[in-house]
This record gives sequence, structure tokens and C-alpha cells, in this order.
Amino acid sequence: MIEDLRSQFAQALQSAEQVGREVRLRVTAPGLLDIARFCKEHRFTYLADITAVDTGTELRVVYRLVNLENSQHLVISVPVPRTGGRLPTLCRVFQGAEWPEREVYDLFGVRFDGHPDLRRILLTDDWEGYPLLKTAKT
Amino acid sequence: MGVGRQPAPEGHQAGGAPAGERPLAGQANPATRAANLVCRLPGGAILVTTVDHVLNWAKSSSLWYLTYGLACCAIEMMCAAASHYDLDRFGLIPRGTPRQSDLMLVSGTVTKKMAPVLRQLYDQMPEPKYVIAMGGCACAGGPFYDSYFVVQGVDEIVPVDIYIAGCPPRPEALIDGILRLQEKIHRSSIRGERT
Repeated sequence: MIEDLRSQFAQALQSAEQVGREVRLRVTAPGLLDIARFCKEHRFTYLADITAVDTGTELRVVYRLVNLENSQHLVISVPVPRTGGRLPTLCRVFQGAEWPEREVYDLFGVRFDGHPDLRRILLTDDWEGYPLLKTAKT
Repeated sequence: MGVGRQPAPEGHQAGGAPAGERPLAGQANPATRAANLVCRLPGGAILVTTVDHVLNWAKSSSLWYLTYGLACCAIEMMCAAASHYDLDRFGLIPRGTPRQSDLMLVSGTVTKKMAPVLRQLYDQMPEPKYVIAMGGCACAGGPFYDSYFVVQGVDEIVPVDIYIAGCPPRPEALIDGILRLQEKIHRSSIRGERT
């Protein structure tokens, strides 16, 4: 499958490796939607979680997919700018993406284009800033 | 009470006293009233007490509690309510509504989004009402000290009567807190001050 990905998404796929039973992909934002769709067609039908990690130098949004037939995991990681980052929503591919994307927006400030209802989900609506960014005031 | 003698409807009088002669409860002299009370008590023991004592006994013996379970402390609260620790024997019965609750048992982490809801539920409880803050989070934020979205102690929102330390406290600690609350109720008076 990794070979198929490499040949089909030469531009968007920055790197692909298999660590144990886990496949890890680094993907650029424009190719995210197509690659997610490709993975779903290749039996990674379950979106387990969407989260993000701020390393201090860059912000990456992380999607974790699972193949429920053999319990294999696939991790897609996408770099976004730390302020004003935008990504396409995965709601059309995985319906369950709606709330995790709201959570990432709520805590990290990444906006998802095409999301049906992008509001804060954990914090109150009048909250200012994004608390899980390293730049956030405590 | 100052209630004037009212004509009683026919057939509603207890046997014995002629209609219209039997005094209403508010008019009876204190000795008669006390005698009636003693007669109605099972066992017929002599009752010499104060209003405070009777009211406090009633308040402390049926502390129906609002199960405000918010985190892992709620597991201990459920455990305390279950058959092994059996909170029922103290007169504590879990309630799912503030309207029937005397005690709010805040067991867990209160987030800022939950805070207005907690305050509203407290306001909906009828007096007399008490609050127990169970565990480190409810007492002072616990491990979420200086967090961006955790209330640093439920006493920022509602008045707390008893604080129970622990993370989470064992059911024994919760029972100890409840007994302390009962002692506190026994020290209180209808004259108003809470001690």
C-alpha cells in the first residue's frame, strides 16, 4: 500500500514509513483529502482520533486511522502554520471527523474549510486564544 | 398562629370531642401539644427537647444528596452508595434532581463550562441545603492547579460546608465527611447562625 501511495501521491506525500505494524505518513495540506480518501478505500475505514501537536517550532495535525479487520493503525501528520492554519475538512470522508476537528480548532486554532459547524466544543464561546499552543498564556 | 375558631365540616371530627369543641392544633396549650406528640411517638418515651434539636435531627437524618459526579471521585461516591458501604443507613439517598436534594455532593473536577450549571442546580435546591466538596479538585482544583479551564475549588461558585481531602478520597473518608456534616447540622440553630 505504501508503494501505491508513493506512486499516486508523489507530490503530496513527504514521507511514508512503517514502524512495527503502524504506517506513518507525512502529508502536505493540499493532498490530505485525497490521501484520506485513498486510505479509506484501502480498508482504513475507522477514524480513531484527530489531534495536533505543537513542538514549539511547528504545528502538526495528526489523524489516526484504523483498519478494523487486522487492527493496523495508520497515522497521517500534516504541518500547518502556527497562526491562521487551514486544512480541508474530512467530514465528507469520515462523518465522525466533525467533533474532533472542532476540538482541534478549539484548542489549537486550526480552521477546517468546509466544516459544517466549526464552533468551540470544550471551552466557552467567549474564550480568547488557543490554550494548547506553546505561545498561549497560562 | 392567631387562627379564629372555624366551623369544622360535618363528619371530619375525631370521635369523642363534640363538634366545634376540639381545639385546632395552633390553639392547643403547650402541655396538650407535647402530650399528643409523645403519644404519637412509637414506644411512648417521654419527649423533652428543643425545637432546634428536633429540626436538626430531621435535617441531618435524611440528607438526600444530588449526585454531582464529575470525575473519578464519582466512582468512590457510587461505591460508598452501594451495598458494601451503604450510605442509605445514614439516611442518604441519591437523587437525580436538585428539587429533592438537601445536599450537593460535588465529586470531581469542575470546569469553567460546568460552573454556571452547578450554580444553577445549587440555586434550584430548596433550603436547608448543604454542599460537600469531595476530593482535591472540588476543594481547590487539585492536580489542575493554575489550569486554563478548571475552577480552582467549587467554593468559588457555591458555599461549601465540608471539604474532604484525597485524590480520590476513599468511601470511608466520604462517610467521615458526612458524619462531620451531621455534627455541624446538630450545632446549628433556627435562630439563623450556622456554626
